[in-house]
Amino acid sequence: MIFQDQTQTIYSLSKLAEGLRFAIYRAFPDQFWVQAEIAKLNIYPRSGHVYLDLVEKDGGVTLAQMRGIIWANDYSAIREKFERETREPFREGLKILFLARFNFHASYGLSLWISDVEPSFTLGDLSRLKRQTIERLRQENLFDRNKQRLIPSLPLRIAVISAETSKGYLDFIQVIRQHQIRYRFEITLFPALLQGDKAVESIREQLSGIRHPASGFDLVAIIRGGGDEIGLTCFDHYDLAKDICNFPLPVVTGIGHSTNETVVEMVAALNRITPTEVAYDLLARLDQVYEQLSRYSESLHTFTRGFVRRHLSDIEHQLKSLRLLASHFFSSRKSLLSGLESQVRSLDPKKILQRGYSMTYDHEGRILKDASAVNAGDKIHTELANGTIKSTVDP
Amino acid sequence: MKKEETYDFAMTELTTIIRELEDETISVDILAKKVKRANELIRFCKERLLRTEEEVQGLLDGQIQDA
Repeated sequence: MIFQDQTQTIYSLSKLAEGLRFAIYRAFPDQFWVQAEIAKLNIYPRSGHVYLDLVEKDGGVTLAQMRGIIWANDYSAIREKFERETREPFREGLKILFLARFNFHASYGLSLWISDVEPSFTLGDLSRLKRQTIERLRQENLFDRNKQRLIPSLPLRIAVISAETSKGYLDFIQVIRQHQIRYRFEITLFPALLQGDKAVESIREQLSGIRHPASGFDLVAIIRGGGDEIGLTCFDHYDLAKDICNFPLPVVTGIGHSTNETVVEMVAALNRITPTEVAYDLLARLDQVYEQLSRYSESLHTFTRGFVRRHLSDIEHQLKSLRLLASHFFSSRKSLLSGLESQVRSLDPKKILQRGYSMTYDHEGRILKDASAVNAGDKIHTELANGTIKSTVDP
Repeated sequence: MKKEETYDFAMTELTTIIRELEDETISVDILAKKVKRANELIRFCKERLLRTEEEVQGLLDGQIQDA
């Protein structure tokens, strides 16, 4: 029987809670420092109080879990200091070191009242994660892989991963547009989140879309800027950095911040601080090709002009020789011909007649060379230079 | 002159005629005929020569203009 032993004390819940509270406060009278990971973070919009689930994990196993609370009065100061020093939003997934005391409430149970957070601890943890990412990429021989991809000499077809409304994207587009007349850029925007914990998946998803060879891009530009510099640790994330390393096209980054380079910027084929600088870098490459082509064109013109001039004078020279040759040809033939002509003229019997000689023919028209060939009474005719004399031979 | 006659043929014939004309024994009848023929040949050759010269001159002048 349960109630047989009258010496046994029976507690009410509130008495039990009271005892527990007393025991806890006696055991932990002061504030203490705790390190834990923020598994969940809820801000109550009306009150502004912040409720957290704090965990300690070993690998995937949860070793301990406790609730925490930051009162609205403390939160704004804590958050401001935290974000100023870590440049990371106070968010789920971060490991924090905080000053707390136990709070036990008879109805709500045990929770930790957090009155302060030490940002340098989180900063240390984040840089440890960043170092781990770098070391792992180096060990896997991935770190320099995208850097080894050459930026094409004509980077015109550009896949831009950015937020459509971000100032960085607008700056980039503005510089490109100014030079659109000379160079035919093809800019395609792949909208993505570029800060905070959703950024990793968002950027990776767009990268896998661009990755297809048929997309035909020359390079990928990851561009951001104009916003605050909080929440860039997504660019230290191993999965994202690995995707950049393995990406088949050169990746160019212009993330726009003044703090240390993120891992993504370190592994990218080309990194410029701002989107504007990225745009000018691409333009400089195009200008270089343009100038080189202009120089080639100029020297081709010069060569052609020289070539034509040289050959033209050659031709003129040949033409001169040809004229000379022709003139010799014709004058020699003309003088030969006129020589022959005068020879013929001198042999012409008419020419002899003109000097007063005459030719006499008998009645049969035979030329007479012997006087005994005619008899008295024969009709003869004598041809002179001008005209003919007909006569009869005297007896 | 027959159409197919060329300068070279004409010149050959002309020199042959002149060689014959220089022969003292040639009869006057033949002489007159030969002289007539020689004169024809000379006119033909002269014309051909002048026309060719003009043609060549024209071609060479045309080259200068083209250049």
